[in-house]
Amino acid sequence: MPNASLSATLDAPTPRAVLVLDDEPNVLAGLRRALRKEPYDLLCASSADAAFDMLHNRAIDVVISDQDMPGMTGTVFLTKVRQLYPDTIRFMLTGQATLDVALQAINDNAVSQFFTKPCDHATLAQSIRGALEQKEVERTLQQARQQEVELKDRLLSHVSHELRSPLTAIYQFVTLLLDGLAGELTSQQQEYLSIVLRNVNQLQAMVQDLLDCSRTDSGQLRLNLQWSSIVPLVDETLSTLKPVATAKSINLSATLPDPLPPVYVDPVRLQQVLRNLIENGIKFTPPFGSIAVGAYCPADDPDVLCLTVTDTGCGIRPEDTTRIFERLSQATNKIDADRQGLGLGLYLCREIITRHGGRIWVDSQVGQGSTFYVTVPLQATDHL
Amino acid sequence: MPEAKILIIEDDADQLIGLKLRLQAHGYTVVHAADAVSAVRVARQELPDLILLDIGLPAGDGFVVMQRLHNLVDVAHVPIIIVSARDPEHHAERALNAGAYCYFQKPVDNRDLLDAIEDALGIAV
Repeated sequence: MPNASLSATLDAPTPRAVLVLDDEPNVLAGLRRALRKEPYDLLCASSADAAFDMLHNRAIDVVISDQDMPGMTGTVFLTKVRQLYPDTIRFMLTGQATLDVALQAINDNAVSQFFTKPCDHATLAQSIRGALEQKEVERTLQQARQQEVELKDRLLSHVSHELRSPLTAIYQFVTLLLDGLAGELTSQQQEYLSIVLRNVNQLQAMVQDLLDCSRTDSGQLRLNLQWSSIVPLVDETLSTLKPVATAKSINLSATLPDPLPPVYVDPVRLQQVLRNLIENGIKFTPPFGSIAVGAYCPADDPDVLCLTVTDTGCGIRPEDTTRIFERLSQATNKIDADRQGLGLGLYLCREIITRHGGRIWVDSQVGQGSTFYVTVPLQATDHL
Repeated sequence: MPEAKILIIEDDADQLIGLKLRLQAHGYTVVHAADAVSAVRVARQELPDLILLDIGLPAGDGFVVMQRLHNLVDVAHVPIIIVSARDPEHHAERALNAGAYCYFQKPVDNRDLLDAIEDALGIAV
């Protein structure tokens, strides 16, 4: 394309390609004549090996194969093509069309259309055009989806970044005041500033959730897996959240069996999950209720450790026990109207635990409280 | 480590004051710069014992600053702690490879930052 402008060259998609495999030269020549004016490159192969070479060398959109050929039947060939190049559209064009062959080819998902020889070239051309158009639509959709995810990621990451600067200044000055670096505080001032600080920390956790959320969507949530012991992880999380629970007169405790086997997890992420579950418990448990963290080795699965967080809160309706782990997009109905938070916490918990190869679920009775269960692996799971 | 001099390179005036007050309260002398160009000049003039460096700066980012500081004979050995709002997932590794002592994402816990500063100064001295 010597005259094509640079941008046209960059934008121009690779020409579409259709590959025909047939061991009879006459058939290939006939197709070549019939399809010469079609808007794609027509490649002809007289053996499966030659066809694979062509598939290897360039992107092929449609593959049309004969059935009876020396060396390899069309069904076997197209099944291999499906395995190696799943995006290709595959047709069969054969003179020995038996019902058995056709059924098997279709049931193996090897072909999408089946033509018998002699075939009407106009019909074949029409089918190829239709298949190419459908592929184009799918490709456009896929690109649009990809762009949407990327855009959302960029937005989330930008928002998360921009919120951090004012948040930092607030944190700095509140802690300066709280630490008495701007003069002594009355106990009331101290109390009020502690409330500010607690809310700053909550805000920070939300900003972090936003960022994590964009990471999970783009597959960038990385785990730093290592052998970790549960007891210090739980203790540390509890000591961070004790003040929040106490402020609401909620009793927060942990009862862990001793000894517990080490788990293979990202300790920071597991703490994030625990913190999220406990914070949720605090949010939905009325004053003078309790939240208890536990752990056990399930009898039916020796490869995992199960952690539990039980609260005496308002409970979750049975129809919502799955939905609560979905993203905020689904959480806009009435029941959530009085819910605080971004609605990302449990979604992130599920993503983190799933990436560990574990599971998360909830058992709940409305008015009685909820128990969240989280399983984490007792085996090295780097392969996941 | 009292008496140590810390250079804060930060373009947000509020955060700069907040950080400065916190460090002064712990006995550190604080000097500062608000952009990539003056950062190098101030570092050369003041010869700090430690540098706290933001990444997003006017006139060149923190990586450029780090590069330039490493080229100054008098400053090349000074430990640099990155304190940035940027996602460590994307920037921490690059910063550490470029010679940063450690990387904090804002807002950083006061205790964590002060501990890191003491550690860094302990190594530098």
